[in-house]
Amino acid sequence: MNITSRAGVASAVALLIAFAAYGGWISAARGQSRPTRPSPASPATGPAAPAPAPSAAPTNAPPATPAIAAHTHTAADTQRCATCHDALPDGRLRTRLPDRTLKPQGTWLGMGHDRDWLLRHRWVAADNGSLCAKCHQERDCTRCHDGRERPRAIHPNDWLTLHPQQARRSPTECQGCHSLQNVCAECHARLGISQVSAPEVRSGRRVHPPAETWTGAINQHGREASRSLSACVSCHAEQDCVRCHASGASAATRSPHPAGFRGNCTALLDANPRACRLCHGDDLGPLRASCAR
Amino acid sequence: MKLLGVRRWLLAALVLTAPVHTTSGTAHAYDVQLQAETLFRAYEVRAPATSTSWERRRLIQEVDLRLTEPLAQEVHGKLTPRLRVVVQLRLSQEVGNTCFVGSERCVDAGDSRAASTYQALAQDGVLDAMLAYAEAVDLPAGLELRAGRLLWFDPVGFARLDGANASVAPTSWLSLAAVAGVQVRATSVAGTSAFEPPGVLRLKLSEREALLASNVSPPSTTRVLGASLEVGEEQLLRGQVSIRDVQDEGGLVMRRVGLSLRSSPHPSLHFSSHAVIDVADLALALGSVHAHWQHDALSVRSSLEVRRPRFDLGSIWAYFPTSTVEQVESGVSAKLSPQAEVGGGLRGRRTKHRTLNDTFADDYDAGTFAFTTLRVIGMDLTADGYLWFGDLGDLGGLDVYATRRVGSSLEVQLGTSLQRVNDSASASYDGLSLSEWIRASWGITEYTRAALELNHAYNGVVAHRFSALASLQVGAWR
Repeated sequence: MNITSRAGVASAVALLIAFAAYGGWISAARGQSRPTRPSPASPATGPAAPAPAPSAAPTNAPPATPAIAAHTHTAADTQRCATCHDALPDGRLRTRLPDRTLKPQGTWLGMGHDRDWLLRHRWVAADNGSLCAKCHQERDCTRCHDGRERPRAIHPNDWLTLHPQQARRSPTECQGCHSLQNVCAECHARLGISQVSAPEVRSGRRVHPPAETWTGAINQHGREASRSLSACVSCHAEQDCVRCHASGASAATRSPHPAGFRGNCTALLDANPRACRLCHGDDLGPLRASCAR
Repeated sequence: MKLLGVRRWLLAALVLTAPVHTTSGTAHAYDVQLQAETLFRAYEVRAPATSTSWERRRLIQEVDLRLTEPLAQEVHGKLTPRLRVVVQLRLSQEVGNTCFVGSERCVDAGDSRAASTYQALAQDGVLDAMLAYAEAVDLPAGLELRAGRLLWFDPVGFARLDGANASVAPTSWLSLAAVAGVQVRATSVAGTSAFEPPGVLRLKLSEREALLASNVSPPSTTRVLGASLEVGEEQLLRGQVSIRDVQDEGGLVMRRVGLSLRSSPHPSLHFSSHAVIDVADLALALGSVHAHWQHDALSVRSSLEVRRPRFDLGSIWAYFPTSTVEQVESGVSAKLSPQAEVGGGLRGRRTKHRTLNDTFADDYDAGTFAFTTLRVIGMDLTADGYLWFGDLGDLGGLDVYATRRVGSSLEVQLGTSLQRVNDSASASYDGLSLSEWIRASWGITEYTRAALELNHAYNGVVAHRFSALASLQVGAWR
């Protein structure tokens, strides 16, 4: 949503901060800590529980290692986490404890939050999202996956300089958080390195290797596009490819379709003809006939 | 969507924060959690091939509101049905300009009256309603119902949509879930572009703006249907089948099936495997096999992942050949003591090209990585490094940082990072990049925290780069 009035933005920000601060002030004034629901294994009764810090809110988290051993790692158990762990009023577990942060460890359901959790969590969350929700809110996902701040563990150093080489290596990983045609393309357009940049802003310097090797006989661009088409999409509009690859665009036109494409092209044409029209024109009759051959 | 005026803004803010305001004086059964974060970051975006620089001065304000009300008397050890309302709003405001290098001239990229500098994609002020839903959870038979703007994820991936979903888990070995709605796009009301299917650039532009941006397609309503079935026990074998069907006004955008199997036959062992298949052309979009073994302080992992870029079937990109990237990795880590952990491993990668008439040889790369964390003299020290060798160029990096608590509420982090810059596709990207940062974070109260960060980097590509960040987090529970 574009906001045309900066005054409006400033007012809204001030209002939101004021409300947030107001809520924080009320909470602090009443000396409230995050409320928890008591459970039988509280420090007073649970012999294995750690002693809380004197001024901290009581916690009844079982100690780390024996607790993991006690887990029987069944799906049913995951519905009863609050039997032993503190729960917040919204039903999630209390993970911020006075002396540490409560985290799954070991191999328990593949959820150990260790060093490479950052890489593995995708699969575990996809399989077992309801278990993640025992401690996390969606906010914890969107903070990175739809965030506006770079997490240093993922984007270290001068990431603006480093990101092209990493994007070439792992073309699909960027898409876990970044929309190619919006986020990536916006920045590239603003810098003038994209084909969709404004005319006056567009850089006069060539971004790609010389044309002889890029689009000539060596066809380096074909190889790069094959490896990392996502990188192409982050700068180019469809029309940039259509200009040369469209059916009948020039004598040297080459079909971009992979080998064996014809066998499935009727089904794809029926599924969504939008892209077909861009290259083959609005009259899809000849194309349909060609697919059937 | 362009706003008609400031009033609508203020009204929205009032409505969304009203529950906190109205409940401040009296006790209620329901729980209110409000979290707010205000963040300001300044840095400059430059690249060697450009004649412009983007002075980013970015203010981000995020507000999360969660209201929870138990629907029954709480009984310890039993799940209590709850009604919950969740709203997450984000305001992102850019105040920097695009400036021409070597001159004093700067332009407003979002001003369509300046045709030669107008960038259709530039959005300087954006309000995102990232989540806004009501749900009933922990109902009998594990029933959960949700409606509004919600986030859905399964092995196929994330989707943000305006719609509803229901899930039920009548037994420990069976669960079902379904979702239906309209995909949230950048063109949706207060929509964000994250999780849009990659492909077609769609924006809602005025007639004048559309004339200046002929590459941009108009908004489209994209319908999403999804379902998932899980069967089995974790100890033996638990399987999941997910289906996602996405269609817009032009036709099919995506139809994928996700399959996963996982097993924890012993407390120290875990296996999982996944496959995401594009039904339209029966191509494997994503696949993985993972194994993890841990005994006492020793942990060993191996994985194989296969990925291939896939695009909106309505875009031309979906019909180009794309390469499959296969990566195999094995790693080991050991906790030497409560204060020390070390780990490392090996990686191998192959890019398997799909060819037209050309013959492209496959790319091969091999790599290694290592890390250590230590707690010494009251500091947490972390070192993290990696190396890659092969067809995509030699790369390497080492990050070292130390975190120390000062008193009970201040935390200071000092760090440095050295990375090799090397892109075989671009001769100008070659050399080393050195970065240092200092970050101080002050816990004002348990749920209020302020932070300040300064960052400097130097490399041969863009010389010096500085960035600064200030943030304030406020949380409140009632």
